[in-house]
Parts: sequence; structure tokens; C-alpha cells
Amino acid sequence: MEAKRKSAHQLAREIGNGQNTARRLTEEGLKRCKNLNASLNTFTFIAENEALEQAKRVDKMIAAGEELPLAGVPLAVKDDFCCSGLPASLGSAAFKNFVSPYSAAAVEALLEAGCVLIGKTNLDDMGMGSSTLSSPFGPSLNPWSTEYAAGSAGAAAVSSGQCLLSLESDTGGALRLGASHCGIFGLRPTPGRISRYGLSAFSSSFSQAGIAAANPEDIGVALEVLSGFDERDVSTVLCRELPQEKEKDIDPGTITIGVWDGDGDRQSSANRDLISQTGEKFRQGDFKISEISLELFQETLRAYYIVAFAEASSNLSRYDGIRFGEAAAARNLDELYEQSRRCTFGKEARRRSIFGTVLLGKDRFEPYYRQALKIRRLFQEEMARVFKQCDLLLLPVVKNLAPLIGREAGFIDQYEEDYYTAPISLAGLPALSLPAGTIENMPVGLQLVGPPLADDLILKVAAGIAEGLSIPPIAVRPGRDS
Amino acid sequence: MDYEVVIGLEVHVELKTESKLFCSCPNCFVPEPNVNTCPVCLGFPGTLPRLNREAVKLALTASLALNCRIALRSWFDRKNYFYPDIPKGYQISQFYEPIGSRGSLTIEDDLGRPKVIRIGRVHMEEDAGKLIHSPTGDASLVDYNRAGVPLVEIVTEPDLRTPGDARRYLEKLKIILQYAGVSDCKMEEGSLRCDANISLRPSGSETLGSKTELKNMNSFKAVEKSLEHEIKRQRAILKSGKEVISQTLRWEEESQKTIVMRGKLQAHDYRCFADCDLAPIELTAEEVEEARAALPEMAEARAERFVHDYKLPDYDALMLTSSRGLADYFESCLEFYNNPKNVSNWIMGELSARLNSAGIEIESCSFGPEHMAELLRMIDENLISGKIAKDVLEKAFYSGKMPRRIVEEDGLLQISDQSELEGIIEKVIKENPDSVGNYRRGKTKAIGFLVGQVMKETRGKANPKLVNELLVKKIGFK
Amino acid sequence: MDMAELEKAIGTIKIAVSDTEKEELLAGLKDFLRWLEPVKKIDTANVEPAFFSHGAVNILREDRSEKADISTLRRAAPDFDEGFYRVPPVID
Ligand SMILES: [Zn+2]
Repeated sequence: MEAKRKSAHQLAREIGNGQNTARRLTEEGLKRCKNLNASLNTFTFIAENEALEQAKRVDKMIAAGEELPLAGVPLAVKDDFCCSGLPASLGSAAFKNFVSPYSAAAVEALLEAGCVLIGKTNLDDMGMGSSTLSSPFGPSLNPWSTEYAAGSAGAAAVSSGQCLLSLESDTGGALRLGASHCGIFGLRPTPGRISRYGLSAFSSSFSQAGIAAANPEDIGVALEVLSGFDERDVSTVLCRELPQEKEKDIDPGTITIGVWDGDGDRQSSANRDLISQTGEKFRQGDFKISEISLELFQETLRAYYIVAFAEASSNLSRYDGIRFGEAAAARNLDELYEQSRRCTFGKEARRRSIFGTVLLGKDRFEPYYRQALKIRRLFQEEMARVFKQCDLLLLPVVKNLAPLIGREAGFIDQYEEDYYTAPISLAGLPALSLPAGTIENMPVGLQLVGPPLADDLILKVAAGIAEGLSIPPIAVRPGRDS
Repeated sequence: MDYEVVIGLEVHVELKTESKLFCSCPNCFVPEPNVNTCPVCLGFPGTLPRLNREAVKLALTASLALNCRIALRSWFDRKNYFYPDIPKGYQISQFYEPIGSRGSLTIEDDLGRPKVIRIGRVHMEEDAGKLIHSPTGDASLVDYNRAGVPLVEIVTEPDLRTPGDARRYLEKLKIILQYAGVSDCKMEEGSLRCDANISLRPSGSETLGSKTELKNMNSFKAVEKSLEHEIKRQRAILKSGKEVISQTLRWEEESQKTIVMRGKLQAHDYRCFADCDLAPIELTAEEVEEARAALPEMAEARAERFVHDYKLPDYDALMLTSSRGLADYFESCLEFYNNPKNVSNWIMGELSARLNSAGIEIESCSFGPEHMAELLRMIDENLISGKIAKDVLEKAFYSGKMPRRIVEEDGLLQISDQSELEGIIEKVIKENPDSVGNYRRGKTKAIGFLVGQVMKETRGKANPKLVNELLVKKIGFK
Repeated sequence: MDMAELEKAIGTIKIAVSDTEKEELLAGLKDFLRWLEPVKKIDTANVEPAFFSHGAVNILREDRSEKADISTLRRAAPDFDEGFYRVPPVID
């Protein structure tokens, strides 16, 4: 398979000035997706007809002289976003035939900007996890090596050239871990930059919309399209605080990158090496570097899981088999609930619902749930102090390489994989997962984190050192066994 | 041993908004099920609630009208439980920080003495849908039209002591909320719903006895009756040395009895926590004071003003302000016809009688203030008699036609033409020599009979004042 | 943490769970609570819980009504008939 990677903004320019058409590109793209999907299991649904329709529409608009920032850019959307008229499995076997009656705000915005929605990407059980191993539709495979899981199917889609942009959700780190496992860039923006309306969130506090792409500039263009106040999502009111004028260029000399190389990490030496190499790159790019120490970080993963489980038990209560989804045959009401919910949820969603219920119970509420909310405040305060010492913070993103297919770890070990990502969710900060190198021929990223609303700065800084970081596999490499 | 009765009421009131609490679906009753629904109020995946500004304003108004302290920061929580009429598996409600708390309302006790009933909290929440049992019994049917309708729940402290207290509290609450423009408060239509908690304890005891919860009362009368029934039942149990079981009872209107609805009341663990999908509500002290200053005039103040401005007797003012609708009607009439006492008489007399017999509220009455004004003006202008006016009112009341049109169409214009009347008067004098004789002998009352005869001859259309004058002139002392 | 508490939670959240899965869940829950243990040791005296993940306040919508297209909503329902969502008979 051909291995040529264009950036989304370049491509949109080519289509915009008539050098290329969305239709031709989409036809080619769809063929490629169908091929690769057979081996990678990236998509739950390939929207062939809709994609061609949209491509035609885009070409017509371009011909009519309209300017579209993402004209013809092939887009993958994680299957926990609703798109009017398209199936949305939400990560549940019971929703295989669910057709959403409305569109998510983010999907609407990207389509309006000219994106062509190629398909819906695979995800873990009700979106819970950062491996795709718990997906009711089987795991998505990593294009770097198919013995590994993709981490995020959308990241695999970008990496394997099935799309140029991927709209994803990130709760405890799925997007950032997936980007790292597939060697691309993934931004979890400041909560409130992108409307969550239409994203089936298992955690109201943490589930966010994010973007994965092969370079930070593309993410920047997409963020600009997606960012803004949407009255359907209260958190987006934050966008009103964004400066009117965007900073054009950054002066590295005025920017301090804090560096924290992590702790308690089985791969800490590998991460430490990557941090020091990347830190060196920053230094060469004239950025100031400063060592940072974090105190509370260690315990915040647990606090994150308490809040996320508590919320999941409530957020998933609407799946009762009455208004949508699948209803199990039942003799009485309790049976309807119990059986319908059982067939809607996989093992992980059941576990989180039940454990979350325990954590919100009368005697656990105070020592766990409220305590976790207090830790959230303490950690937010600590991170605010950190960002008085530096502008951005560089830290690891993964603890391990992508999980191996068929070798699922114990559930707590799986939660530990979010060690570097979930705390950032807890603190409500923007974070970019950027490729930093390879270990055992598999890509490994790092995380660039900033204070609230630092998204654009993060992307600019990453772009400054991204040269040479973009990592290839546009085609699939078979696993060692095959 | 004698017992003291302890009653607390939980009242749910539907707020008078155009749309639901968290979505744009219309907030109005429609007979067809599941038409006022959308992805948000059906809890579709990915949807988020959007708080209605007017609902917050009305909840604030209600809280202020009930003398509550206002929380400068309040928010919504999720009350988690499963029931088919709850679309999301949780109800969004203000559990931890209600917008209003520690309010009060003054009623009269059974002996007419003023009594303060403390109000523990006033909070906003979304209503549930309706669950109906299918006629065949093989299924229950859910209608989500009402799901998400904005409510305030008003909870009293256990300060009520008699069923009469409870009824008067509800009557007063209804008037206050109607005056405040918060709600229609129509119990028959479900825009006001009331649950009661009741327990008995030995007189003088400080600890509360075990309580029961009463549901399904569809009128203030039913609340009073069910409480009376429950007091008797509990007293009998206690007298026999047994214990009252804490349970939920349902009032059955037909049999006038309570039946057990749910066994033992158990503290359900709703696992309440703040709903991050919504933003907290923050008010400044100035905003609260502004809202307080902008409170609509309440019944007492309005009655005082009616006495002062319109020179109405106390009794009239009290009656006219007994509901906001009546008071509004009265004042609207005055915009078209400026004789307050006359308007008051006709509202309290004829119109109230019509409303009562038709069983409708003044708000939905087709005999509007313009009708009333036109009718009274026609009497003043001697175009119709008061008696004819009553018939015209009845016709207009049911048809909605303007009084003048009814008078014209039915030929009811008063006869004030002297020559036309003289002929009839001659005839009546001739036919009633006895009465004429009586009158001439000084029995002045006899003139009334004669006037009546003339009225009868003219089917009520003669101008009675003129007839009287003419008669006196004709048969007066020679 | 014992089976009774777990069963109560399962009953509350209404998910059918087999007996073997219950045993597995109980063991998992015990591990999980043990894993969470360090959280309890963090000194949070005088710390106000961060109830909200965002700083938004007073985000309000104007009170205007609009009818939604209900036909697509109804199509998503597993058992919708003659205007109603149907569930097994509910006995009060
Ligand atoms: Zn609605």
C-alpha cells in the first residue's frame, strides 16, 4: 500500500483551490478503509453512502466559491458520538442497530467545516477503557504491529491512513494513550473547549471530546473549528474567556517547559530516556527547561477512578431498554431492567456500575466519593502552583507499550495504565500526547500538559519540535507471528 | 390517654412556564401521549440538560413569597432510582442546596387564631412522566409528556395539628402562589399535588410517633378527609396498645378510606450527588432584593387597596381578593366601567352564582370584563332593567356573545316610551280595581303589585321607574 | 465488604448477575477497595470538595418552546405502541 501522508490542512487547501476533489479522495479513501478494516477492525460502521454524499456536497460548495477550512478531509468519529441518521453502538452490542435521531455538536461542526465522515470507530465496552480489548465487536489492532491492540481505533485509523482526523472521546486517557500507542498526536483539550453535546459520556466530570491527527497543525485547525460556546453544554462557557486575537508565533525563549519524569513506573527508565531526549530537543529549540516535582500525583489516579465509577453508575442508568436500545423479554419490571441492562453492558460496564453504586452508598459516600472530590480540589491547586513555575509540563503518557491482543491484564492493572493520563483529567487540564520515540519497534509518546486554555500554546510548542517526530506506519505491519 | 396529632405536608407545584425545565418541549397538557418529548427529556445518549431561566425566576419568586431565605449559590443534584416514568434513571432535583429554605406561612387555627407554619425548604426539580395500566393488564404504558416539567416542592415542618390546619394551609398556599404568578395550583388538574405525613403522640410528649405517608388526594377536601380518617385509624391502633406501622397509604375517594400502597417506609438510598451536566445558580444579595421588591401584590395588600382606593366594604374586598383571578377580573372591569361597588355586587352576586353552577374558574369564563362593563352600562343608561340584565348575563355567560348583541337580537330593549306604556297602564288599572282602590286608601304597597303587572305585560322590558311614575300620576289621590 | 452489601448494590443498580460472577465481583471489589485504601489517608481537613468539574455558573436558557420531531425518537424504542412506551405490568 502506498505510504504518502498529507496533512489535513494541506489537503483541504488542494481541494479548496481545485487541485483535487473531495469525491475522488473519498472514493479512494473508502476503498482503503474497507481493505484495512478487514485486517485492523478499526470501524464499527463505514458510512460509504453518506461519505460520498458529503464529498459531493463539499465539491459543490467549493465550486460555488465557499471556503471550508477542512474541505474534503476524511474524518473518523468514535462510536460514542451521535450522528443523525447513522448507527451509534456506544460500545454496546445492544446498540448495534441504534440510529441516532440527532447529531453531536462536534460532529455537526466538523461536517460544516467540510470534513467527510468516513466511519464510526471501534471502542471499549460503553467507552470504558483505553485498549479496545473490551469492545463487544472485538479489539482493534495496532497498525504498527497487529499483535498489539490499537489503544484507540481512531488513532489506528489516522496512523494507517484511513483518515486524517479523528474525533475521539477521552475520559481517563483513551485518546492520549491510543495516540501514543499508534505514534500520532492526540489532544484532550481544556474541558469546555469542545461541546460534549451528543457524546455518550459515562463520566460527566471527565468525558471530553478530543482530536487525533498526524501533526499538531491539523489538530489546531480542527480545534479552531470545534471550539466555541455551545449553549447545550454549560462547560463551553469557558470559550468566552478565550482571547479574540490568536497569538501568531511563539518566542521559545520566553517559554519554560517543566519536566517531570514520573515515578513508580515499570518502564520508568524508558520514559526517563524519552523525557531527557525530548527535553534536549526543547533546549535546542531555545525553550527553557525546568525540573518539576509533583507530590499528590501518585494518589490521584485512585481519586479519578472513584469519581468516574460513581458517575458511571448514574450516567449509565438511562440504559433501561424502554426508550432505546434492546429490551429483554421480561415477565416483570425488575426483570426488564436487569436483563436489558445485562445485555447492554459488557463486563467492564457492569463492574463500574456496580462498584460505583457501592462507592456512592451511605457508608462509603464520605470516605470515598467526597474524599475524592476533595483530592480533586487539592490536586487542581497543586497543578495551579506548578504552572506558576512553568508554562507547560512534559511528562510520560504511557506506563507500558500497547496491550497485547489476547492477553488481557487484571482489571486493576488495566486501570493502572491510566496512571499518567487520568490525573490530568482529574485536574481538568489540556494535554497533548505527542510521539517521542520507539521502544521495541513500537511507538511511545509523551504528554505535554498546560494550564486551562493553554491548548493553542501546547500545539504551537509541539509543532516547534515535531519535525522528525511524525512516525510512519501508514500501512499495516503484520505481527511477528504472521 | 389523649393524643396530639402531628402533620407535615409536601406539596409539588407545577411552574407556569412555556417550556420544560431542561429542554424546549412545551410545558402544557396535551391528551395525546408522548408528543411533548425530545431527545433531552427522553434521556437519549449524549444529551445534556439546559436550565430554563423562567423556572428559576418563578422558584425564586415562590421562595420569597413564602418568606424563605434564599441560597446565594444553589445547584442541582441527581436523585438516583429506577422507575419507568423517570427517563434517565435519576431525577434532577435540588437535594443539598435548595433555592429557598426556612420560610413560613401564617394560617388560622381551628379557633381562628393566627398560627405560623414553618416551611423547611422550597426546591426545584423535574417532574416524572405518567404510568398507565393498559386495559388488558398485560403491560403498563408510559407517557413522558410530563417528564421534565418544572416543579417546586414545598415542604413544611411538622407544625400542622389538625386536618383543618392542613386544609387552610393548602388554601393559603394556593392563593399565595397564584398571586405570585408561580402556578395555577389546580389540584384537580395535577398542577398542585400534596402528600401528607401524619403521626400521633401522647399529649405532652416531645418525640414523634411512627408516621404514615398519605398519597393520592385529589382535592383539599380529600386531604382533610383522609387525615381525619387516618387520625381515627391511628388512634384506634394506639388505644389498643399496638404500634402504627410506618407505611405509605393511598386515599381512595370512592370508599373514603385509606389502603396500604407500599409496605414499610424505608429510607431509600438515592445516592444523591451534584449534577455536573448543569451549572450552579448564583445570585447576588442585590438580585434577591430586587426580586423581593418585584413580588406581585399579595391578597391582603390588595384587599386593603380595594377598600382604600375603591371605597369597597371590607367584606367585598375580602371576597374579591380570595383568588387572584377574581381580583384581576374585578380590576379589569374597572378599566371599562368605573363604578367599583356596582361591579363588585355583580361579580359576587350573579357572576359567582353562574360560575358555581357551571363549575368553572373565572379565568376560563367567557363572560369577560368587557361583557360585564357593557352590561352594567346598559343598566345605567336605562336600556335594560336589572332583571333583564340577569337573563342577558346568563345568555352571554354560555354563548360568549356581547350583552348588547343579545339585547338587540332578542328585542329586550327597555320600553321607556311614555305613549307606549300609557296604553298598557290603562289596561292594568282597568283589570285591577281592587289594587287601585287599596292604593288610594293609603296602602302604598299596592303600587308594587301594579308595577309588577305592567312588567308582566311587557315581559320585563318596561322601565320600572317610569312605570311607577306614570302609575302614581294616573291613580294618585284626586 | 460482604456479599450482602454487594447484592444490595446489584439490586439497586438493576443488572442481572450470575452467582459465579457475583463471587468474582466480590473478590474484585475487595481488591478494588484495598487498592483505593491510600486515598483515605490523604489529609483533606478543611478542604471543600470540588463538586463541579467546570467553573460555569448561571448558564440559563430562555423560556421558549419548540416541538421536536418525535417520529425518529419513537423508532428507537424497543416496544412502542399506539403512542405509548410499553413495559411489563407494574404493580404498585
Ligand atoms: Zn423535551
